[in-house]
Amino acid sequence: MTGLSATDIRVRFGAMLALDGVSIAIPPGGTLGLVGESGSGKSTLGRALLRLHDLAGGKIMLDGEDVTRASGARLKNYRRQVQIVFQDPSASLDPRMNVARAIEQGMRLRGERDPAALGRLLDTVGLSRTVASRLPHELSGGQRQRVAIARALAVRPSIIVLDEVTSALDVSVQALVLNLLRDLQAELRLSYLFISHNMAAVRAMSDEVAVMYRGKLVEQGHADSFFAAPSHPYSRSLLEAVPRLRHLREPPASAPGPFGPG
Amino acid sequence: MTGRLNLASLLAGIGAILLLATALVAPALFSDTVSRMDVAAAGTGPSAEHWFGTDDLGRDVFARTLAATQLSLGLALAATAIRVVLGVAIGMWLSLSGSLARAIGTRIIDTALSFPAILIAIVITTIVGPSIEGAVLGVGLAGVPTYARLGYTMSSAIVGRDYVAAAKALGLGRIAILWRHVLPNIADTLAVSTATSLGLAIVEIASLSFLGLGVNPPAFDWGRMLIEGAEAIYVNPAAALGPAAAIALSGLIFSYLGEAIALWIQPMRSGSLVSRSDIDGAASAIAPLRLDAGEDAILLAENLSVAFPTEGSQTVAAVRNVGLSIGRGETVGLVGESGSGKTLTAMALAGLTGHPARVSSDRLLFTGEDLTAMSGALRERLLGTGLAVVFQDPSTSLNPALRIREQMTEAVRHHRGLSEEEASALALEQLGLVGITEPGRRLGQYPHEFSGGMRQRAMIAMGLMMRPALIVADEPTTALDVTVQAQILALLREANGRDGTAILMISHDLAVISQVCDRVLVMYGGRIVESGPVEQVIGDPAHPYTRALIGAIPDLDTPRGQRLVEIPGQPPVIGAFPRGCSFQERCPARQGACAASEPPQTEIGAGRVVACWLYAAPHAEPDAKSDTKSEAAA
Amino acid sequence: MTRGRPLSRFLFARLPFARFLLGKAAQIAAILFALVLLTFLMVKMIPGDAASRIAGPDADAAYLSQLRSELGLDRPFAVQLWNYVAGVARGDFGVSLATRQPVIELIRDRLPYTAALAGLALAFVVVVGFSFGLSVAIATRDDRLPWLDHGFTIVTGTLGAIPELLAGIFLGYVFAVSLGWLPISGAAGPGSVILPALAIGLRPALNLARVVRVEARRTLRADFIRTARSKRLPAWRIYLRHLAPNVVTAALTIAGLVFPFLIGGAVIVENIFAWPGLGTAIVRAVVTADYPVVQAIVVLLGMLVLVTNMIVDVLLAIADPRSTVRT
Repeated sequence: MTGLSATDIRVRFGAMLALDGVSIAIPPGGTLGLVGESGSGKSTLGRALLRLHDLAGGKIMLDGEDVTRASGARLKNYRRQVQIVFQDPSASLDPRMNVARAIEQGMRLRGERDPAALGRLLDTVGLSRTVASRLPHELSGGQRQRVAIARALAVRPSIIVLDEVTSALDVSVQALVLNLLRDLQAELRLSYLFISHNMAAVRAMSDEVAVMYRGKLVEQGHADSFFAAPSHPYSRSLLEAVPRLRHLREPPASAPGPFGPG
Repeated sequence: MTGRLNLASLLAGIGAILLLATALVAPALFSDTVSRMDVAAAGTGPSAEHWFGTDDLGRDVFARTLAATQLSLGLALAATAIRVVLGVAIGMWLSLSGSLARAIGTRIIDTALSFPAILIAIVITTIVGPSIEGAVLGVGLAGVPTYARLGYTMSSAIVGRDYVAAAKALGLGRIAILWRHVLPNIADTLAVSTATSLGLAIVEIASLSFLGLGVNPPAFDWGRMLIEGAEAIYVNPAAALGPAAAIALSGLIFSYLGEAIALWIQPMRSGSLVSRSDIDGAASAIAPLRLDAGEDAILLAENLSVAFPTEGSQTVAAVRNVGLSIGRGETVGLVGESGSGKTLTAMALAGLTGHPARVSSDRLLFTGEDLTAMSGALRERLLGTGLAVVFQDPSTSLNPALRIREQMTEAVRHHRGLSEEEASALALEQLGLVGITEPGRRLGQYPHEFSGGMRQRAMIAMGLMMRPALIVADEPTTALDVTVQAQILALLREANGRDGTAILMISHDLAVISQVCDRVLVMYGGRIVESGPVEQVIGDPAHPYTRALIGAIPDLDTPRGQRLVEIPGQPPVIGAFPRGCSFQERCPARQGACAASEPPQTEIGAGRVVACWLYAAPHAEPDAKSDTKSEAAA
Repeated sequence: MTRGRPLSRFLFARLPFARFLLGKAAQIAAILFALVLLTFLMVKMIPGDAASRIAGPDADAAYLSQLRSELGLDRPFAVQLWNYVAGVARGDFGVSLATRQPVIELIRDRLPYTAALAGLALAFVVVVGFSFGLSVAIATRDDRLPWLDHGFTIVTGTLGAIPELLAGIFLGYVFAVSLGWLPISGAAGPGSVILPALAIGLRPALNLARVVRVEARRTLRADFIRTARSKRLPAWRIYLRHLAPNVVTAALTIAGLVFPFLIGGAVIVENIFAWPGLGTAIVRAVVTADYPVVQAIVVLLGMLVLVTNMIVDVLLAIADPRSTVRT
């Protein structure tokens, strides 16, 4: 079995069970879109997959190898294959590290010594080579997110967790980042876990879709069939609630959703 | 930045250097003078021979004060070293420990912190005995909890950042993370507080010496000299003056030195994003479109601009020459990206722009009355009863310390003079109308007892209390989940249908606006670039920006794998708006006229207006010096 | 809404508060025990032993052994600890080595003086710090009156850096020695407490004023103040009903943190003005190696701080509607 899969993941924050038995598999070379509202546990799942949270239970498998309890060199090796890009690039870049240092950190860990590699990586994510010496605050939001993507790519991962990567960006910049991610996927045969509360972005990016609600997975399936006919009532209310640009003024679901008024 | 090195910082720096020099040189320089007793002049005030007078043994106070610098400063340095090194080490170690160790460790530190430092110093002096060592150890160890707390708090904050998570994900080890990410990011704050702490340590050691628990004769520091001076304060106050001044001065020097370091560090941190190389100085040289809203306009603004003062007497425009009108019961959307000026426009219309903003307009009418020509009290009454605002984040827009009842009723009681019972009854009714169950119980609750969606319902109910003619809703659903968003949008539509309340809705999301509004205005770079009925603007956008924006936003109907339209570059930043059209740098249809001057508002159909040179009739090309009040484009 | 609520519901609603109080009490008991243990160890940790420190380097052996048995140093460690802890529990701190008077009597004489001094200083800090900081914040809102803003920063930054030691000497010199308005030393009537209380309270009051001003400025920019403005409420209502309650919480938190500093200041300032409190007693006891007195005063002042902190915590829990213990 290839790719990354997680079975029955549980994460506990104090008395609260943030993830309650979640199982997902990321299709190799494809994208699993993970949707849900705030507090549903979708970002926790993304971090748990990278072993950034302690697991209270469950199992993580990468290419048939159990990495749930991997430590030391095995954990490092695992983390080189699975990378993460966060929502807010201004928080996910060290304010005192320039672009070159931030990216080279990962390249050195991989054993890359070629000084030209940095330039090639900057080209890959569509950044001018002149930004190498800049600090994060000297870059725009879209540029920072490209740096964060380049930093993740520096260790040549096969899987990237994309945690709300466009939420902090201006709408006119989102498309650039989404297009870039799709190009990189085709070029580098990457697998994505695309976490977002934006249903339309998930629709545009994903081959498969999983829906989370209060720490549980309520539905998982092929993207086309999911968006055509979601089976779980929560998924339906979620889709119905999305304001449509091209279908104006459909009769609104003015009655409270199945889970009561927010 | 001229404020980077202010006078106080400069003086503090010079003072610190002089202090250090004195500490190094003075003891050798005055080695004889300090112990020479001039019995004839014992206990006298300042004179030409003894600048600060003499103590009761006839020793020169000035020489002794300078000579004591070495011991006072040295002891303070040693004590500070103890607290900073030990404290920060403990704090950083704790921040990387397991949760149980963290919980116990912080509890111990907090308890020690709530204990008077001088008692800790006294306990240590009791053990070691009143001596120099006791004073240094006492003052040093008494400050360890403070630094452990500081080190822990700062280190934990860094450890919790996303970039540390990213470094962990890359496979960096603990020490590498501490060394490369944590230390560089806390070093500056640490330097600031070390300087300040040095000043405090000088005072604390002097205090111990003054109590007889520190330096003892024949050695002397400032505190010890102060004892001798204070005892004779009736007869010879000058003897206390020297050491007291030295303590006060050095304390001040180090506390301002701390602030100087902080000031010096700050600009490196935040940096300035705005390059102001090409500020559009000729913002207002444009003819506004004459808006003919007729009798039923409840809000009419002509040539509305909002500017911010910059260094010197210049201003930077954030909203430029906006004209808009809202009819009675009409729903209007204002869409734009961050920095487009949409929220500022709305706040200027509602008279709620904060302090530095300067609002100007040719005309600003609300329910037919001229707001600019009205007395303050009248305007407050008119807006207080006629206009309600719903803000973006309901969790911060309600006062956490007051019950919902008071927040809902205070305005009607003030403006309409309703009694408490009448106002409560009205609030009960309004809460029910926005779909809050058990409104009676809810009225007695605090905002934190409401969910996010309920808070925004309560905000809307609060706005409707006065039956306003207009609700300004500033990104009312941005902070909410999508299912709650749908309910809030439905509520706004409901209020519009039921009471005929007009709505001005601000959003970055065209789809959200299309759910509520009849008409939409698109803002970019502080200007309205296109406006018209929602269906027409979305179905057939005219301005290249609107067109690109609609293509760039994925929609649930966008087929999977379809490439989104890319808009190159970034939206312009306030203060760096280009001359001419704001969108020219990113525009695929750019032409020569775009950079030369601002495109005029051109009518391209019933109720549709666009500001783009593609649509401008040749004769409408404005003269750059035309009067702002001309009606050329009407 | 509270009328006619069934008793069971009432009790249930009050339960978190009772649990909160109990938890606080348990916490105090634990810290108090640690404090008692610490003072015991303090005497144990004296290099050589306490008896030889007291007797001095050239005391004869008979005197030393008599002193040892008097201090209980000849008994096993566990017995010594037990006797000490049991004694403290009974309120018995032993006998002063210097005066032969039971330590508890000395405490009884002096505690009221220190409590009065610290209490007065605390009242001064809270009242002056809060009103000063709040009114300057309101007066300088939206960058108004820049001269007041600068003046406030300079005054609080400079005067707020003057330590109790210097403030005491300066105040004493000006108001007692030069002007002769107030007594310079001792406790001769109610006027005597004014200068020491001012000397202790000045620095914390100015620092509290700074904190309150920063907090009030921050709160004035809060969204809910903008909401209140959007309702066009009168200015007094915005400042007193919307601003002040949100600053009180911060001010109370600081006031709780300030109390240990006031106690520390009292120890120093009492010695300047010869105020007959615990501060003068503990310093004399340290110098004369009168360990039972040092132990007792450390425990008692520690307790004073603990109890004050608990009162502040309870007040905070009541003042802050977000606190879970409130009903």
